[in-house]
Amino acid sequence: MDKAPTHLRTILQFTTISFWLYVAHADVYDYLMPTWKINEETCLDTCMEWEKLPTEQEQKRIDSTWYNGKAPSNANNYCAMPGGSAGKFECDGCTKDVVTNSYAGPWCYCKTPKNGHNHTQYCVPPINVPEQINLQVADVHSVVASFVTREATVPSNKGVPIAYFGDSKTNLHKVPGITHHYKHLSSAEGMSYSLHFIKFGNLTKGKTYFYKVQSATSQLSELLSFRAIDYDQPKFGIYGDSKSPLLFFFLLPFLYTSGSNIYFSGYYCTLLFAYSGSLEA
Amino acid sequence: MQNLKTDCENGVIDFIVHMGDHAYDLAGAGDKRGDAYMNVFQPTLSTCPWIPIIGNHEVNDGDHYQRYLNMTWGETLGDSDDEDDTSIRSTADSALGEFLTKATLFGLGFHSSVPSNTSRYFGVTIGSIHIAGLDLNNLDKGQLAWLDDDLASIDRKVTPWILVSSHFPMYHPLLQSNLNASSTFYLGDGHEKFTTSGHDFIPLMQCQNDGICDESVGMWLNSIQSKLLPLLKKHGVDLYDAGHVHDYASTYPMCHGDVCKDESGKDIKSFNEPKGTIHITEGNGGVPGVNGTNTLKSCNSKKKEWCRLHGTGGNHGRIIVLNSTHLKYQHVENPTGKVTDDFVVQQSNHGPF
Repeated sequence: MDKAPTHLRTILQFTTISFWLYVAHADVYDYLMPTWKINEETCLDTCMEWEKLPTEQEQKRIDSTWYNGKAPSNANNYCAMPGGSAGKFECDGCTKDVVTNSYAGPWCYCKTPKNGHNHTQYCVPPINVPEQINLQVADVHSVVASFVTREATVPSNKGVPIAYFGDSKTNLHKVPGITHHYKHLSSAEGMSYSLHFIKFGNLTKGKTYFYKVQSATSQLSELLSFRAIDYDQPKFGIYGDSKSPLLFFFLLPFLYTSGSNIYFSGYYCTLLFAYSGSLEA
Repeated sequence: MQNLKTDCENGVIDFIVHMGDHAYDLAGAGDKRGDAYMNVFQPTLSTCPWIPIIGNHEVNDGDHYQRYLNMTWGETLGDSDDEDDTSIRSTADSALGEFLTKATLFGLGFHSSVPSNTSRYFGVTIGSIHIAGLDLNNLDKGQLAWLDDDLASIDRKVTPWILVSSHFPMYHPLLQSNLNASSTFYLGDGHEKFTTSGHDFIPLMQCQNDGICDESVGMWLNSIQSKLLPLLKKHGVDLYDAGHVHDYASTYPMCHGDVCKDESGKDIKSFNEPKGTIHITEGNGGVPGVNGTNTLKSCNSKKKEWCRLHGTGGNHGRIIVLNSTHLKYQHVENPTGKVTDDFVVQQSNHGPF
């Protein structure tokens, strides 16, 4: 008699662990993108709040696309790539374009879709907002900040991107850059797609620098910072093959973002730690 | 990536080298997948500088380099054939000024001591280590000539260490076991699987009616090795690091296609005063389906005396140059941040092997 509960417990433990392993291996995380908006050509009004969908059945269906089976409390009606479904069934060369799998990026639930369109619809990117901000090593004393903006039309050649840059948050000076109009994407998206490059030179090793960026027509980015390379003892991470833009989230096990903010999730940490059997990380 | 971000914030590392295949289908869905990837990457890459290297997926995913080249600096295929092209704009008001601003504003391709003038391949010296990134999707003569010049320009007294990196490994146990497989599938033109080593090692395909025949992995490898290995030897390249195969592998120092031997003909299975390049594959930064099962086993055998360790699971590498004679390599688990393999290379006589 004593053995039955033990076996049952073992089975339950195994089932529970397997379930959590499965969930933990879902890889993807909820990603909110408040600056992206519903497509007015396919939706008559607006995105609905994720927690207030019209029917219980629809609520259940959409809830299942989120990582925790429910939209994050700060999701509002933002466009998003819900982590429970993003990248689902993805494979190389055979991935199907399913909106709720975030195949083509963030989506939301349109309150009143136009004829022939579904409630779940892809969102459209913002105009004049710096995105994809990254710093590329140029040489030991320089990095190049690059970022992307979209504009309704190709902006005038006279404007240049600007960074406000310096070694103090309160003492930033202007650094001009150059813009590269990316024809390939501009044509595909029916709007101007521009890449901007601004060099930060004469960096002092190990020193922390602050910066914001904007294109000639865009709003300013948030204030960001980085530390210049300490070339006395070079040290760096090196790897290949991060793959999918969505499944890439496995490398971001502890965070998801909402616009430019980062939120930590103890839930996912717990799953990973439980799985790895380690609390050291 | 959070590990890398945290490491960067804490001063464990100063920058990131990404060895290609940045994301699947970057150009998919009208490039929106690429947008998503780069947006997700922003929290890390806006605070930790990176060096991007080109992989097969930056080439084959529908736009033939364009997304990658645009991301990395701007001279793009298909974007410069317009005489009235205004795509590159600068603050300069003269032709010379424009040239100079392009040269100084754009990244790695213009900044090396021997500028490659392309973001396909480039070199950068960071204190005591020089890093050369290659494009093995097309190892053309121009690239080889540039690499020879670039490596020759390094003053080893000032910059003792050299790392050459590309997306494709030259020594890996799975390659050695599948030399007769189809290179078409191995190189990424065919579909790859996420949860295995990534690339189907399938038999050679039959020649097509037009006489075009598939090349074997062995033939491709020979072609690459015959061009690159002499340069690694000539310039005494300490490390060759790559991705592509979705796992980890490291070799002992390699000489003439095998582990280096001492004067008595005995294998040298150490990193003490290497007489050849050490080859590392770190190709599972976070492929889809990567699971938490991290394994690490010896791959050393009579047929592969050069093979040191072979492991699975999501991982990344860490290189720390301790001084002019000692360099540390660490293999780090993504989920835990644990270092599961590390070794120190001691080299007091940098130069040609």
